[in-house]
Amino acid sequence: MAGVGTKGALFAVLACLAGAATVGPVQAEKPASPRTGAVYFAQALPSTAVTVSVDSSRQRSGVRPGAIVGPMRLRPGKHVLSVSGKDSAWSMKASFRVSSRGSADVVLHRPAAVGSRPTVTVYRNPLGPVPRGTGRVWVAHTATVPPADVRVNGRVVFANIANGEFATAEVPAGTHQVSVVPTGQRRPALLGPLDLTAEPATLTQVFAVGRPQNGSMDVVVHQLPLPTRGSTTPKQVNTGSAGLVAGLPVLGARR
Amino acid sequence: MTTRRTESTAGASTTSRAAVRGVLLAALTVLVAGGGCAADPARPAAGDAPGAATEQVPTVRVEAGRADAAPSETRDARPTMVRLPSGAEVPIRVAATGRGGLLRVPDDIRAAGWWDGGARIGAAYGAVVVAGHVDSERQGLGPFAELLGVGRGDRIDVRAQGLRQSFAVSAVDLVPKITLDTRDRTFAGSGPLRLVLITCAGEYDPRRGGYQDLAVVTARPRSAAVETANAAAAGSGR
Repeated sequence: MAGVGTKGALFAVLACLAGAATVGPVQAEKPASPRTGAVYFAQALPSTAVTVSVDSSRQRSGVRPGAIVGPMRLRPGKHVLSVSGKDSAWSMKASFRVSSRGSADVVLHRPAAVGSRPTVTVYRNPLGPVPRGTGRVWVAHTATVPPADVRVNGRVVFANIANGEFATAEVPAGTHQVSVVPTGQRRPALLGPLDLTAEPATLTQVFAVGRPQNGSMDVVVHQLPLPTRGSTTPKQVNTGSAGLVAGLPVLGARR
Repeated sequence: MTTRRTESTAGASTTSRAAVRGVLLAALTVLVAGGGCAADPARPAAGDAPGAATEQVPTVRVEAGRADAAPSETRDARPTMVRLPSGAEVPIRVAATGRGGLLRVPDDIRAAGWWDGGARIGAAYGAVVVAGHVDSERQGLGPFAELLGVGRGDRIDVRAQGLRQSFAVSAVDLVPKITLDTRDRTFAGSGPLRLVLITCAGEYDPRRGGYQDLAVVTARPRSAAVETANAAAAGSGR
């Protein structure tokens, strides 16, 4: 068992290091800037409560699976998240970067490999406007399962998402039946089908968590308000003024 | 086994591999502590900060991973050009709904207007609505006059910023103008993605606002939207 855990930890750390390598050059910080970013901590580790600190300042203890802590208003620049388990039996730190007026979810979750140690992934929240009557659904794969498709009302809307990846789509407001299945297959459902309600003008973030093998598959949901874009539904369209095609039959029209 | 795995994972030189291993060892001491293995408190964790000295257990500091979009992820973008079945290419501008609920289609009949409250190319749901003038006194017939003659299956391609998507005509409807606002599906954000092209048609009565009908052409996607900027990388998997 320890061997499996060890190997998993290797990959977890490797993944984190790889993430660090792609962050790019450090940008000039603006210490005087009052424009903070909003950061939400999402607890996507199944069956354990954790204590969360940012920059050595304790935010909350006893954070249960599925809980969201935030928004934490943080200065632009680098910050350190510290997470520890019950009675400080384990702990980890992860540094992350906050952009001015940005919004991000910092998610504690299991990586893809079974038996691995927790990892932390930063997801920038897509807060762009959506059409009226529409919500944005965003699905992140943070479960211990291979790449998956997300079916919405039976149709593949999010295809081939691997652990640590995400996909997003604008969907009509309302309740949709969502299931997660192995990529390219209809079954077995790794999760669901479950009813997911997309509220209008709302970002609904869904983190798939757990392991289907031990029945711990679940979702963590985080909702944020979104602005709407575009004008109201037209009542009139006037696209002609000369009468040049007056009375011309529309050949393909059905009656 | 372990060595080979390391090589294939990192593809690294001996020195950097040793460095990675050093980090990993330190990381393991910490991470495995919760799993029942004895951690060595005397060994400092790699990358440990001075502030960590106050912690009860040694911790590893890593950079949080940045999430990647799934390879299948398609962003959406507003349409910028429509190619009609004849091959005629019509530029598309943004059109908003104005006073009285009138869609403000570009006056220039050589351009069409995309309703800014509707779906965009690459979306999964909703109507991408594009309206164009059939004619005008000053410019004569417009390219959208072609819609009066299209039939089921005719191909219509749409270009958006960095995306293109191909559609096939699935229905042509002659809709009385006065019933447009009660015909929900023309502009609906629900239902699978479709392209809705609109122009004027039917009887022309200058005393009653000119054309009495609208030709509403609905087209279904022939395939998913394809990225055009990095087509080799993004388009191959579809």
